[in-house]
Amino acid sequence: MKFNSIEFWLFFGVIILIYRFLPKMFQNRLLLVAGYVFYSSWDWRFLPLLWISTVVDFILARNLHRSTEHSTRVVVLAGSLVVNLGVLGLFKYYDFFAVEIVRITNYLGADLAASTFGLGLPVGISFYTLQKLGYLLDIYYSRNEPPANIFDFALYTCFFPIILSGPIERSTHLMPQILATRTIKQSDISEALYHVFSGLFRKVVLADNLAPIVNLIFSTDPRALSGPECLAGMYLYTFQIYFDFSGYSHIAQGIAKLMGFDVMWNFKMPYFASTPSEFWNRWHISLSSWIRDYIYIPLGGNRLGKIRTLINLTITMLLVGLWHGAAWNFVVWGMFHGCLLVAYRLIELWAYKRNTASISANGIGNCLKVFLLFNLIAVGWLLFRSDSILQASVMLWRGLTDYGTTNLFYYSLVSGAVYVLPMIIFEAWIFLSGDVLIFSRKKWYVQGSVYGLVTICLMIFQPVGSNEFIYFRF
Amino acid sequence: MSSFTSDSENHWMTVVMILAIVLAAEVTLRASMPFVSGSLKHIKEIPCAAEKLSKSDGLRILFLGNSMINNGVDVKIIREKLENKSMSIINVVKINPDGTDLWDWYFLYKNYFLIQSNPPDLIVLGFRSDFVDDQRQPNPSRLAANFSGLRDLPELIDFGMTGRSDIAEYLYASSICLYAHREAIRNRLMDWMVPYYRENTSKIGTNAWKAKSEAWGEVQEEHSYRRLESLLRLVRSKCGMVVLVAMPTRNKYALKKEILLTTEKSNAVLMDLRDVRGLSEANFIDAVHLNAAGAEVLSQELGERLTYILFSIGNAPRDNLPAR
Repeated sequence: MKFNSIEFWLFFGVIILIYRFLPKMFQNRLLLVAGYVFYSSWDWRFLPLLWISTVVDFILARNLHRSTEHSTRVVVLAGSLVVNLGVLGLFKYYDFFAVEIVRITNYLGADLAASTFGLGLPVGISFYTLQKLGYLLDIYYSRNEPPANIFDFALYTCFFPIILSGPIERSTHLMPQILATRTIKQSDISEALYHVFSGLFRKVVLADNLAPIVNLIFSTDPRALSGPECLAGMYLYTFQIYFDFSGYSHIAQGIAKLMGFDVMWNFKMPYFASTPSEFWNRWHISLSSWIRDYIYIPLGGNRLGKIRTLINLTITMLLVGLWHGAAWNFVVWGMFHGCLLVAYRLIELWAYKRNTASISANGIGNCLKVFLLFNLIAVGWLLFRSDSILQASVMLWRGLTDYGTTNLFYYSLVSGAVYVLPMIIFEAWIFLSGDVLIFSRKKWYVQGSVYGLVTICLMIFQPVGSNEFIYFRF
Repeated sequence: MSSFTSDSENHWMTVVMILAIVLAAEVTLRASMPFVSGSLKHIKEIPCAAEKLSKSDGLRILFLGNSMINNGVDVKIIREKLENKSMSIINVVKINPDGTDLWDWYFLYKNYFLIQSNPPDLIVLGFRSDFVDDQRQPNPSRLAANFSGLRDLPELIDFGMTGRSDIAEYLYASSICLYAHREAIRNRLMDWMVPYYRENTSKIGTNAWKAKSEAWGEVQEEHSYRRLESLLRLVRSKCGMVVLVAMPTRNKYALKKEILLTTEKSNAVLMDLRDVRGLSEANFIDAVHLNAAGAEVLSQELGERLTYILFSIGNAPRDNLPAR
């Protein structure tokens, strides 16, 4: 059941109808059952894993909360980290590391055979594992208390709008909403409509129609592509992944809003960022803030001197890369972003020392910074999307050295412009207004007209055979 | 500030507005369907063509397929060929909606031709191996919009359209034209706006097909032809005959042994035209479609072989089959 499928909306229609007429406690139970039904529609075989990990974490959290001795708390926390990261590691990373270690040892002269499990990746595991870990760490740091009822905790781990691809909610934000009586204001509906239409448009009309062009370019031998074709593939993927993932997050926010839940923003116009740290404050916000709060700051953050800050930034981004998947291109992509953060930090320090920071603070300077960063981010996405580092390197090299235009390039360029430009203009308007919900505050006939046109686009531009969200793979 | 603050209590009005806009677009589309694409126009003409064929005297031949048949078969050449061999009256209809496969052809035959008082005597079905096997996935929107109705849903499910999303799409497409004909509308719009649209869309289609068949080939060793068998049975129930034509493509494909067994079991004829003398790479405009010169070569060969088949059958498929 994908968010962009008819069956999901039939499912959601039934759930929301029943939900509206139930008292709060039964609402939570309904949402829990709906979460399990939704999850099992993807792969019911991994449902027991979710149940077991929920029970284990619930018990660990209660023990963590009850314990007063520091050593006991540390042991319980360590146990919870081992359990959660162990499960994640087994399913997501074991095969990759087993194969790579054997490959390296064989290269050094040994003769070993890798024993892999081939278990398959439980959908959403990277997201719900971080969400549960955040919960346990919040209990450890006494930022939150565990709920008395295991079903409320189970709903926290299996809330269907967010279980598959986030946003990775914080226990301090979502849990109180689960425990409280929720009310749905009229303005919530306007906001929900905005999120749902915006999200579906991004996914169905934009990302899914860019995908076939991107796939064609990336499935072609890069040596057979012209430079502009390589660049077209890189830039179109830059937009595809953004619209795909931000589309999912918007829909998640919208459907949660219709049930009275406030789910955190995951994207805030990231391609208008002018520095890498600003980019990560706008891109996949729930992950980057999670990593910042639970990894970067505990590592020392920027409190332990310049060198240590740069090391912490690199480690953090390496982990972000690895979180996305067990493959070298993700590791390299993480490292690339780590290097970007370090380089920008060094330039900032240098500019601060020379007192030249104000030079780039004017409008044109800022636009140039946004443009430069956007291109660097796009190179990062090239690493992310390529099947190998070699493919990414050849595509980048050809993009920089070959200027022959082709039919495919013109086709990609104009198609890209048709799909991407209207949304970029819309986002620029929101960015300049400084109000992310400005459109949901417009008059009803303005909203109605735009949503009507969006609905027509959703029907016409829905590809035959719908595509999965890219981030479901992570 | 007030102009930026919509009255949030008016969200019902917003919903009504959305519905009104969608309804207006739906009505407009229904009124202007034949203008959207050549293929839709062709599909709209099928009932008329079926009726005309039914009312005609002599041998009734239906050429059925997709753009491979459209590009590759010149019915004029075939008719001349057959008539030159003293087959007195030949009535030929060529039905070839774009992108269709056996899912569509089965229901197209059943719902447009089988219901006529005189169904076709001979059906010449042009295919590439994957168009007719059971493992091919249906296009629920196309089926619902053009070739089948809600009453066909049980049969579709029996044929393997069991996915929840497929069934939901089928039901949705049955009621909303805007959604059901989205491919045609999108192609029309994008063709108008984007340079080299057709050429590259065709490339994208081939690429997606290649990726799909590679992935599918890894897991799918077995091929079955239950749906094809049903079509052959359906045609036979009206004393018709089917000639399955394996069409030529730029890269030759394999014919599975199961398809040979199925045609043999159903008394159909399998005509292997994958490799026709006189056809070269230069006769293809892309991986699967012939150019005019290629169509002439193929039609000559097809006409020749059809003549041979019709003459060599001891018992004609129907009383009105011309005598030797």
